Amino acid sequence: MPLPTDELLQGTLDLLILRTLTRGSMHGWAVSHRIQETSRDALRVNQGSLYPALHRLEDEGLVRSEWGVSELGRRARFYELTAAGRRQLARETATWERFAEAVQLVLRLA
Amino acid sequence: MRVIRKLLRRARIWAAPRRFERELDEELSFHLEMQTRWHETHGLDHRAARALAMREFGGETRFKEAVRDVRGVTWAHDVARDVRFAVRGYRRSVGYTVTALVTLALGIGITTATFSIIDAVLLRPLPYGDPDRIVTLSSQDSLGNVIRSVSAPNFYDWRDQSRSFAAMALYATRRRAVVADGDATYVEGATVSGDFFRVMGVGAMIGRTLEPSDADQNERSVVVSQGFWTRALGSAATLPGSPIEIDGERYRIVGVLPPRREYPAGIDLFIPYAFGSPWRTASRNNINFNAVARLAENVSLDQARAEMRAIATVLHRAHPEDLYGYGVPVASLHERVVGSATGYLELLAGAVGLVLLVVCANLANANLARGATRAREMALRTTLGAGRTRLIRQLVAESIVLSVAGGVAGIVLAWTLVRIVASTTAVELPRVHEMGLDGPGVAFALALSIGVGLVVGSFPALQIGRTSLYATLAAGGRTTANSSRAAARDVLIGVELALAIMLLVGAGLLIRSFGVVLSRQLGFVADGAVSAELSLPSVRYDDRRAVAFYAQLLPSLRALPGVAAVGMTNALPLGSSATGFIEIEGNGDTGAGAGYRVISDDYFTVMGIPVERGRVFGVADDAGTPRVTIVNRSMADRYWPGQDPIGKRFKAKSMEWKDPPWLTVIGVVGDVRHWGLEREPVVEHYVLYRQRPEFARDMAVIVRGATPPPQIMRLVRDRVRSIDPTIPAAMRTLSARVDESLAERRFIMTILAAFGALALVLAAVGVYGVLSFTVAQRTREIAVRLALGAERRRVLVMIVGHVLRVSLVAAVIGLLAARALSRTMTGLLFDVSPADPRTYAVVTIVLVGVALCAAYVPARRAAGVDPMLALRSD
Repeated sequence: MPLPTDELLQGTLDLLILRTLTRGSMHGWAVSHRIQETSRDALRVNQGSLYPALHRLEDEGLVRSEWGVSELGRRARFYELTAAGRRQLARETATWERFAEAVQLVLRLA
Repeated sequence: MRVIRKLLRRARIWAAPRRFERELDEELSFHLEMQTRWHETHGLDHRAARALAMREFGGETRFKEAVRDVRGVTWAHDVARDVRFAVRGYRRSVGYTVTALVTLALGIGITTATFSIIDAVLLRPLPYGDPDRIVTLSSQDSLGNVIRSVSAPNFYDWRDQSRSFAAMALYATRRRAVVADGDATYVEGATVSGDFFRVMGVGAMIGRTLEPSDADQNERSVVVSQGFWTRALGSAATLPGSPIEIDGERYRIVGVLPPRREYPAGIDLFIPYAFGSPWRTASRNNINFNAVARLAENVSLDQARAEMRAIATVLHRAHPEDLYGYGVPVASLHERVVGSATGYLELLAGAVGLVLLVVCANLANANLARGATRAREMALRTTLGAGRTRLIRQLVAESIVLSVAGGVAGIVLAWTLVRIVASTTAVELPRVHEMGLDGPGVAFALALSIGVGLVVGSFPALQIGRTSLYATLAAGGRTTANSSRAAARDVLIGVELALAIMLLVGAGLLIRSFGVVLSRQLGFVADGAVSAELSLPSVRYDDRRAVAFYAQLLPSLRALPGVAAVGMTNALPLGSSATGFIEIEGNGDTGAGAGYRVISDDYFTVMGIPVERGRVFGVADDAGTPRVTIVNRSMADRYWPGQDPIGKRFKAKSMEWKDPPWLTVIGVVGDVRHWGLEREPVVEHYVLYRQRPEFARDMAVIVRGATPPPQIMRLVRDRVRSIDPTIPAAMRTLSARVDESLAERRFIMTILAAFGALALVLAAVGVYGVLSFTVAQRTREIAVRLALGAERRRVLVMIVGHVLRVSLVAAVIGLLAARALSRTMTGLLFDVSPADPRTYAVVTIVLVGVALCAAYVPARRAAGVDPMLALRSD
């Protein structure tokens, strides 16, 4: 049963997007597809919230977008990480790992 | 920085909203196509795949709105719509809009101008390196008086013994003759010791500043101000190293200071001077220099003060003859530079704050009235589903649009005002060159505009949703039965009137003070006299030559056609002059003091100062004859009360370098308010320049005659030039000096009077506007009353009486507040009590009178309502 990303913590979607974009610039659909694929279908990105998230990240200067030509030969908006985005990703990843560890500890030992 | 970049990113989107929407569509359709294909590859046919993709995506509109929210597009869109709405509304009510804009522009303009002036004078750090670390050192006499000048030997002892300072410097200022374009003119020059520029932390704009070694060089160096560089030399024409003639000697310009870095104010030339060994043994009572210092690192002002206190104690034990060695007061340079301006700038800030409050009250009131006429529109929109927050936001946005527009006009006004103040010669504000409307000023004006818009706009906004929709709609939007709204208007009018009366009391007290000052006697006749200030360079003029120069000049001026009298003094009235300690024969009092002035024989004649007893100086009094002096009435009364002072003797201990001789009193003259109309005459005595030729370098010649001043000035200049062409004469009329001595008082009085008048006019406009509106709204009610037999006079009395009650309550509150605040003005008042009953009475009559006049016109209109017409019209 795939988990819709809506039900994840706020910020998690951002983290997933930023991480995915480390592989290079890609369009919105590719980002969602990639997340689903990498998580072996465990995470399914709600497509209605993917784009607002991408725009918010760009608004905050963490990603930037450019129009390019997709594999279908159509114009598509490609997103890529900015330097600020990379820094943010490093910070968020560390936080997330500490958090996940802590939750695991509690689940195991409490 | 991040916020700005974010704003820029958003601005790009806001600038091209259509493109943004198109790109959203494109992004969406691309995604759907990709997703559809994905499903197709997993075995769905095209239609099913497409439908699934759309379902997965969710609502198209929701997606777009979410993105618009994220990008601030929704917000920008709403704001733009509010602004369009506001502009449309304002174009419908031109009268209201113009009045409000003018009021706003005035309020924001004068507030911003005041802010800019206070910012430049008081708030901004001085334009020197690390200016908080620069201090001034002063002298102190046995009475505890702080004297800003110091003696050279004391300075050297301080420098050698103290550890609180990284550097210390000595300087003295004096006007210098400079030949530029073939004409000799005076500029202010400072001779400075080697570390002066290290203390000030100023580097050169071109070339270099002075080094300690400059004083010992054969070739004399000089650093000039940027102003002098462009004004007198023509900045492009000459480069550092070019020669300049100062007081008849050749100097080489080694550097130019950056603009606005002249300290002390107005200094154009900085000449190196070795205050070397001869000065170490000079008299400690010869306090002709100023001392500045830079605090050492990690030393606080208090620590420096404590150290200097200790040093002063030890020094004074070693040199008990030092009359000014009772302490070494240390003060920050900022304090010295800003000085007395603080007092009246604070008053100005307070007054402008009151005016701004009147402006706000006025606008709020007009806005309330406008809100009432729009009650129906608002009610209608509410029934049609507009939310209360939405309407409030629109009202506030409308108000801000108006206030920002008024603010922009205010910025233009402020810019003009600041330029006028900066260029006026009527008042000498410190740091006037640094004044101007710049970034902080504009930011202040915009922030103020938005603030005023918020405050003013929230008044009618609060009314929204208070009244019942049904009642408003049913009454056709005409009702004013809403008593809370009427009460709010009365309160606002009352506030305006109370604020206006506070300003008027302040202005009234200052005007009364000015009258008192003007009615006082100067003690000399200023009209019809011209002064020419001359400086003889000591290099070419020793004592004998200086005396010979004046002995030739004075008679030749007297011989000019139309000249009635000629005299000379070392210190003109209403300027600075020296005070020293004296020793009266047969009186052990060593603390006695007296001012001294060096004059020529005919000084009292030319100045119109009455000779009360004895004789004046004559040709027989000369360098070789016994030293004589003339005292003023105050001095005679103070030191020889009930006796004839003629023939009495005293010593002027601080004006003689060593071993002061006895001076014999030969005459008594009337008192002169040398220090200004606001000061009492001080104890003073006069000596003859031929007997004190050491003082006869910087003199002012006074010429009185029937010839018009410009013509006399030309004649005097020609005479001086014919004796020595390198000596310029700085000419002015004595009346101009008197005017200038009153300039500061006149300036603050005029400004406060203008603010008071402005507040009064605004309040009158407020009363008139509100009553006109009320009368218009109540036409039907009044018509009914008249139709039922009410007298027209009663209607008039009812309306005017209401305003009378409001204005009397406001006057009482305003007067009480004024009484409380006027205490802070005591320092600016003169011989007038802050509680002066006459001022308070006159101001009250003026205010209530103006309020009633403003009420009368609309009241007349109400009384003139035709009952039939009013009933029919709807």
